[in-house]
Amino acid sequence: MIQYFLPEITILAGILVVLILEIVLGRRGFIATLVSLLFLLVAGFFALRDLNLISPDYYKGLGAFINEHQNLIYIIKSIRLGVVERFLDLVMIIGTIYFVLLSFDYFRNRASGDYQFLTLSALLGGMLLIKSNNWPTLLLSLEILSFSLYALVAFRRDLFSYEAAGKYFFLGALSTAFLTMGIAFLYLAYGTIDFGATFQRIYTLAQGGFPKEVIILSSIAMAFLIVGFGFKLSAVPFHFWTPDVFEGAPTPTAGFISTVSKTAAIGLVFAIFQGLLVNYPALWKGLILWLSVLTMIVGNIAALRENSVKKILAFSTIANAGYVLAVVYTGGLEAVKAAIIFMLIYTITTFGAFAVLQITSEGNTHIENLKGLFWRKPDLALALAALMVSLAGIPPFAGFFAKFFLAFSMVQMNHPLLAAWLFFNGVISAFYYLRVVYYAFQRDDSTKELPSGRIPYAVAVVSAVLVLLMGLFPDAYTSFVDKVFAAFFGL
Amino acid sequence: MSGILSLLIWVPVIGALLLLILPRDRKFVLGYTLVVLGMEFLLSLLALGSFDLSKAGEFQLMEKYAWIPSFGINYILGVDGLSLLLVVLTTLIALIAFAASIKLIQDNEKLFAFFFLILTGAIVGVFSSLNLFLFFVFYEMTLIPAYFLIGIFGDENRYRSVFKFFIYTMLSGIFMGVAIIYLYLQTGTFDYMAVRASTALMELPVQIWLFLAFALAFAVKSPLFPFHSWLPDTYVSAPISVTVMLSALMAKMGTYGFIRFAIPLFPQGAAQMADVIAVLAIIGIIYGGFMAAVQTDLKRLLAYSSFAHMGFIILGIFAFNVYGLQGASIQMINHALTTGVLFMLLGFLYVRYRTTSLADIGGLAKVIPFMMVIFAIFMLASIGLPGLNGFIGEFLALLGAYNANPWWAYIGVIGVIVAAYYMLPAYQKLAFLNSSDKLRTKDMTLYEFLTVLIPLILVFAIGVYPRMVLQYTEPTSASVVEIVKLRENIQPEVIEEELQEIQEMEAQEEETIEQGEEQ
Repeated sequence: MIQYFLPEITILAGILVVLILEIVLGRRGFIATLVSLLFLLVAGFFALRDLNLISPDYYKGLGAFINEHQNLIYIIKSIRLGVVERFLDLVMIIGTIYFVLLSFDYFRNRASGDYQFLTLSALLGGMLLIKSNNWPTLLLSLEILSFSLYALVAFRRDLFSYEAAGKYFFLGALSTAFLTMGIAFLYLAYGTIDFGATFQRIYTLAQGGFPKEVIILSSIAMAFLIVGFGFKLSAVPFHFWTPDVFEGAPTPTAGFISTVSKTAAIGLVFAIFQGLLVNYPALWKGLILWLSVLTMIVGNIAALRENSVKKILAFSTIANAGYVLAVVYTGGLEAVKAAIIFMLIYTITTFGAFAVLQITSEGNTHIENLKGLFWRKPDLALALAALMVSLAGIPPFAGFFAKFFLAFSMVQMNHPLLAAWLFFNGVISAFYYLRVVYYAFQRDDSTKELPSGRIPYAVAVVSAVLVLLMGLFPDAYTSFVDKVFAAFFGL
Repeated sequence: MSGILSLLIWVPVIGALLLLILPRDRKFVLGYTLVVLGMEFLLSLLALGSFDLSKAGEFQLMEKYAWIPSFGINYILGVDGLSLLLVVLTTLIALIAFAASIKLIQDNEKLFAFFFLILTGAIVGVFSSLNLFLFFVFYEMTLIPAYFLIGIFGDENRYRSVFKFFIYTMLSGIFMGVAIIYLYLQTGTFDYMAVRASTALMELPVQIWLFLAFALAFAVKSPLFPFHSWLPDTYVSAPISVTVMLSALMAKMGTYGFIRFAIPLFPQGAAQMADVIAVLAIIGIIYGGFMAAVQTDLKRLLAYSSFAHMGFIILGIFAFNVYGLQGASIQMINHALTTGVLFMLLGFLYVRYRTTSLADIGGLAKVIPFMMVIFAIFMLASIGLPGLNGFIGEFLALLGAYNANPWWAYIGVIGVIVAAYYMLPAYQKLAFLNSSDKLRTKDMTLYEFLTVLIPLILVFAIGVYPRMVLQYTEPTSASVVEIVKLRENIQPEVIEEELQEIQEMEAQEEETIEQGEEQ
């Protein structure tokens, strides 16, 4: 049994160990960071090993195990496990490694046991969230993730940080309330808390026609769910919190919300809406489409007029959520693969950009602050250029392939116009991404010294190199994803 | 000699990356870049030498590796006569454009050289890739270095210009990207030859849509009439050597795209749209000419003139006969040589006077007579004086247009007159009027003369003996014409027969495979 959940168990062990170390050794940021990194690396290793081991029988063994021990370990029935979840785990673990590295530079000694505890809990919450198989588990893991994040946003302990945390908490709680409400209505409509059973019932009803009261109830539920998930995903029109929270939150935490927490939300939405929507009235499917179409364009257009780099990255997060939401609508196996690859590349690129931001814009995230970066730190400016160009989706950088694979899956499912819309949004986004680069390459006569953060410096350069290599040799990861999927689905 | 095309693409790129870790010293950086570009040019001559002219219609120097096997994307390079010439042209122009403008690169030579080298490699990639996806990647890749070269080193309006350039080019590429994915899903491959073999059977409306998707990208790049408004601003704002690259090479990416991709892949679609595009090209010729006539700044004048002359190339292509296509092909080379060198000469003037406005300089024939002679030769070549190279191309293109539709030629030929109408007065003013003692300066140096020497020889050589270019491009032109002719009058029954044949062939192949397995 344990063998299937080694990554989760490692993270759980990590949570306990960092807390105990805090008690034994006191506030030691360096040691806590090291320990936390160690556990993350081990968890990442286990996740990779899991994916390598996969054969069609691997998780079937898990299913058989659950069926045999139904009464013994009830809790297991609430967890679903497959390659998609494992891949997203891996992405989230990579994101958290970035986060821990940047946090150490940001907080130094204060990034000790309690901080690592919150970090690892947030990660665990995310990992469980995408695997939840019934509504209570979903809510529970969502709260683990969210509450850790509220605390992390407030962790700088100044007014801005508190303000951001307050906003985030208020809207997060509100969205959870909507979700809970939606879940209650779904339960009323279908009489079960289990995802599988719900999907099954929808499927049977779809064959014979939905009764009127089920349509009404599930429509209300759907409306509530979309609002709830919309907040978590920062999909338009539920996105207003994102730039504010980013602006106030510590830079690494903003990066975490923009990558790891989004990956979790995307995984969840994929799991739920793929199941819910397949046999649902077209109205709700169309709603997801419009949500994604709007999210892309509004995020991108709002970013155009923004002068704070952090807020630009916030709107970029919104737009990118829109891109992935679009393939939730189109569906298909290729879409799932594309979304995984997209989130991986997006995580690496975005965190790289946040690393540059952390060095250049401490206390002042105005874009003017980047002026003259090239003349002081040319390699950092080139790294920033590579990351931004990649985010804009221009070859030969990885971001191009991320978008290309999404577009590919859309055209494959017969939505060429949606793919064109995606590329079109890429063009608009190029405006503000390149604007950031433009400032970095401008001449500036002031002799302002940059803080010499070695870690974010290394993180940024390594990310830029990675983004370039992943763009030049995309086969390195696509063939792996293909191989695992083929093995898992027995294609 | 396989592998030489890869070298041609990657030598400048690797040279650029190496440059990042080499010292910043100005002389060293400039010398190093010239050496890399010189090697690149020699390599392209080597490719030219190892090309088998008797099979100029076939793709040679082929290279094929799997790049992203999970999506069936291969790294396929290969050149036929046309693309080989364009590759050689690219390396030549890159070398001389950089050499001619080193005085204009005031500071941060390293960054300039870095992006310039990458741009060169990417353009070679565009002209030599035979995989639609790879082509698209290189095509988009040229944008980034161009963006930075203009955005960092351009004049005071660079910010506006570069965004206009960027937005036009990127937006126009969107539909090509989607069309390429669509083609892959229809045909199961990105490989040019395989796609080309299977698109002919597509239905007409689909062909038209796909053709338009490709044509939009190339129309902006070339540029074709209503899509040209990025051009004057960008050409003027860019530093001179980049203007040379833009007008001489990147504009050719558009016309090359028509000949290589848009037309052979979707011949019926192209035939349907030919009239529209030809008319737009003619409008561009006339409109560009008259716009050039009212300019007072030489750089802007040349920008419009470059735009007008591109119209002849597009007109020649869409005449769909051998004359027209041959005219277009040779004109692609001619236009690059003449317009490119004219911009370089402007650069020399700019180094001396810090302006290119006709209001500030004039009567230079007394001051710098030798440079004015060179200027006159290239200007006359650009106008199309018989005996120089420009004449052959425009004559052939117009001849082709006449055969397709006499009215195209009647109106198009006005463009030739207009070219003389704006070029000669401008030259008159530049060389003979308003001379002033303040303008006294050094005449063309030997170094400057050497940078324009090869184009100078070619201008006369091609003018006297055009066959040296035409023999390379002839098979390509003929095959494009053949494809269009073959498909234009095709009957539905014939398509069905072909489909059946293909299905039978596939069935036979499967049988043989099965038999092989049984054995």
